[in-house]
Amino acid sequence: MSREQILGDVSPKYTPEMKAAIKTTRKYSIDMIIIMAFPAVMAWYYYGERAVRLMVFSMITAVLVELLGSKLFRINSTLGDFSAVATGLAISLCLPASSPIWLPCLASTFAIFAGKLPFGNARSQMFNSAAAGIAFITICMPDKVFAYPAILDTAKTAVLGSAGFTKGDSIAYMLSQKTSIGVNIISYLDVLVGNVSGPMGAACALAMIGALVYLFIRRPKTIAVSGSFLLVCFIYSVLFPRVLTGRLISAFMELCGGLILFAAVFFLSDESIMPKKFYARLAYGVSAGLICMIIRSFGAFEDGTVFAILITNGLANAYDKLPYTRHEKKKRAEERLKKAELLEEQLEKERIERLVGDEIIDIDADALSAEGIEEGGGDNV
Amino acid sequence: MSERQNRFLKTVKNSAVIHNPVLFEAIGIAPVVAMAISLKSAIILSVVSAVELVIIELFACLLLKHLKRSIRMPIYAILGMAINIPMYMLFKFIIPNETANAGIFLPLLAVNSLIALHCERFAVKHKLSETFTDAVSAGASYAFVILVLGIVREVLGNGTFYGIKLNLPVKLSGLIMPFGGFLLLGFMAAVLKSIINKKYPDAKPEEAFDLSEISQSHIVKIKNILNSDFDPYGENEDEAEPVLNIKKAKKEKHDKPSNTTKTEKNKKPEKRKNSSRKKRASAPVSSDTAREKPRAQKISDSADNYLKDFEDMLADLDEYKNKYSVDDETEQKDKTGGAGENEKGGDDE
Repeated sequence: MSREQILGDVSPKYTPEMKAAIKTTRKYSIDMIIIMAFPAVMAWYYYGERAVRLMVFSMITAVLVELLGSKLFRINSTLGDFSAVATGLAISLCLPASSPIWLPCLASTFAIFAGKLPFGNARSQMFNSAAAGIAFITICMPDKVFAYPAILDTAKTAVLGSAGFTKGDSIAYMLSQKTSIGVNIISYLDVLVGNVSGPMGAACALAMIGALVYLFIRRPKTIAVSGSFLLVCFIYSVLFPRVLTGRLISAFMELCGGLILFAAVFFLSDESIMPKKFYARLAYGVSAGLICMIIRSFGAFEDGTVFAILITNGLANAYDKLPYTRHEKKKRAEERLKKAELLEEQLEKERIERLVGDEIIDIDADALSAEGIEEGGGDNV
Repeated sequence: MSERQNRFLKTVKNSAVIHNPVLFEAIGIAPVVAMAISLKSAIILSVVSAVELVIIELFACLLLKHLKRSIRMPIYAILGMAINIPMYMLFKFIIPNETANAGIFLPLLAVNSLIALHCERFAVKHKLSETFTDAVSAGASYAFVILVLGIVREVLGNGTFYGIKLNLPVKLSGLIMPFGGFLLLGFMAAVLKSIINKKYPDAKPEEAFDLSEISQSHIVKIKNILNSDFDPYGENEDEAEPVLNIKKAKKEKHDKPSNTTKTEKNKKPEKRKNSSRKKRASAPVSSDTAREKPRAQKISDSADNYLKDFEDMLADLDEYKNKYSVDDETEQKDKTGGAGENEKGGDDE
C-alpha cells in the first residue's frame, strides 16, 4: 500500500502543481502549529489534562472528517499538508476548557465539511475554516461557548453543567457589563500571564504576543494585515472606551480579552485568503478591525471577532482591485521581463533546431559549399 | 414507447430534475430559505406554491397565448393574488399558529417568480397536456425540495418532527436561520448536480440561461467596471505592456523614435501637466523600459539575423533550382513550403 493510498487518494494522480501547493500549505500549517504550541502549553498549565484531551479530540475529528469527506466529495485528500490538524487545534484553543468534548468536535466537523471541502483544499478556500467552525457553534449554542470556567488552584477543570463547575468572568464579558479590571479585581499581570478565565488558548496575552512576533519574523507579509487590524482595534477602543476607568485601560482590555489577538495571529494570517497587493492587505486588516469592534460594541454576543473575520474574508477578492504600490509595480515589471527573455530564448532555440534539423538545408548547404560558393549565398551561410 | 410517452418523460425529466426550480435555477429561494424551517410550514408553502403554479399555468396556456408579454405579466400577479387569498384564509383557519409564523412570505408567494418563468417559458408556447405535466412536475419538485429542507431543519435545528419532541442531545439552532437554509440548499444542489452528471451526462442545463438579453444590460457594464483594475489616473494606459511586445516596440522606436514621442506629447499635454501623481507613478516604469531596451534589442536582433539568414538561404535555393534543374524538384518544393510555414508559426508564438 502506497503512502497516497493510505492518505485516501481517490482520483488518479497528484499533479506536480498540486504537490507544490501541498508543500507550501504544509510549511504554513507547521508554522501555525509551532506558534500554537505556546498557548497550548499555557492551557495545559492552567486547565490540566482536560485541555489536552479537548485539543487531541478536536484534531482527530478534523483529520477524520477530512479523510472521509474527501472520499465523499471525490477530491484528492490533502491530509499531507497538516491544515486539518492546525484547524482542529485552533478551534479547540478558542473554546473554554470546561466545554463538553463534542463541542470542539462539532466545530471542527463543520469547519472541514462546510468551510473547506466544498471549496477544494486549504489553498482554495474562501473563508477561514476554523473561524467558520467557531462562528457556527457560537450561533447554535452561545451559552456553552461563552461559559468560561474560573481558574482554580487544583488545575482540574470540571465539565460544564457538573457540580464542581464554577463560572468565571472573562474580560470580554466584563467589557460588555462595563466593569473594569484593576488592582483589586484582576491585576494587569494576571491578564498578561493568562490567569483570567477566557478561551483556553487565547487568554494568555504574553504567549499571543510572542506568537505574533514569531509570525511577523517568519512571514513579513502578514504585518500589513495583522498589524493594521490590531492598530485599528486599539484606536477604536481608545476613541470609544467601554469602561469609565480610562481610555488606555479600555484599549488594554479590548485587545487582551476575547479572540482579537488570536485572530490576528491565526485567522487573518492565512496567505491563501489574504489579498495579494499591499494596499489591499492594509484595507483588509483595517476593515476587519472596524467590523470586529463594531460587532463587539453593538452585537448580541460578548465577542464577535470570528464573524468579523468571515465578513472580511468575503471582501478579500474585492480589495485586490486596489492599485499596486510602486515597489510591487517594479517587481512585476522585472518578473515579466524575465519571462519574456525566457520565452525569446526558447523561440531562438526552436528556430536553431529547426534550421539544423531540416534535411534539405543540410543537403543544400553541403551542395552549395561543394559546388559553387561564388554563385552567391555561401557568404551568408 | 410511443412518441407521446417520450415527450411526457422528457418534459418531466427536464422540468423536475435537470431544470429543478430551486436547486438549479434558484427561483423562489427567499420563501424556501426563510420559511421552510419545520414540516408544517413546509407543507403550507409547498401546497400553496404548487396549486398556484398549476392553475395559473393552465390559465395562461388556454387564454393568454395571443396577448402581449407586457399585458400577461400583471395578469399572472392578479391571478396569483386571487388564488393566494382564499388559500391563506383556509390555512389560517386550519393551522393558525404556523400560518402566522410564515409572516410575509406566504402572501408573497402570489408573485413567485417560479410562476412567471414557467408561464412565459413553457405554457405560452406548448399544448395544454404538456403544460399540465410541466406544471405538475415543476410544482412537485419544488415541493419535494421544500419538504426535505423543512424536515432536516426541524429535526436538526429544533429537535422535533411535526411538533413531536425527539429528545436529541444537540440542537443546531443555526440551521433554522437563513444561513443554515442556504448551506443545506447548497449541499442539496451539489448532490443533484452529481446525480445529473452520472445519469444524464449529455444534458447541458446551462443552455437554459439565454444570456443574449442580459449581455446588453447594466449588470454586465457594472461587472466590467468591477473586473477592471482600479485606475483613477489612467496609469495603465501608459504602460502598454512594455515587455511582452518588446519586438514591436523596438521596431517602432527604431523606425521613427522622434515621431512617436512627438505624437504622444501632442495627444495629452494637459493631463501630464495637471496630474503630478501620474508623473511620479509613471517615472519608474519608463526607467525600467529604458533599461530593458539593450537586452531586448540584442535578443530581437539575433533572432532577426537568423530570420534573414534563413530567407537568404531560401532565395539561394531558388536560384540554384533555376540554374540546375534537378529531377526531384517537386520534393524540394514541398519541403521548402513546409519549412516556410513552420517558420511563420514560430513567429506567431
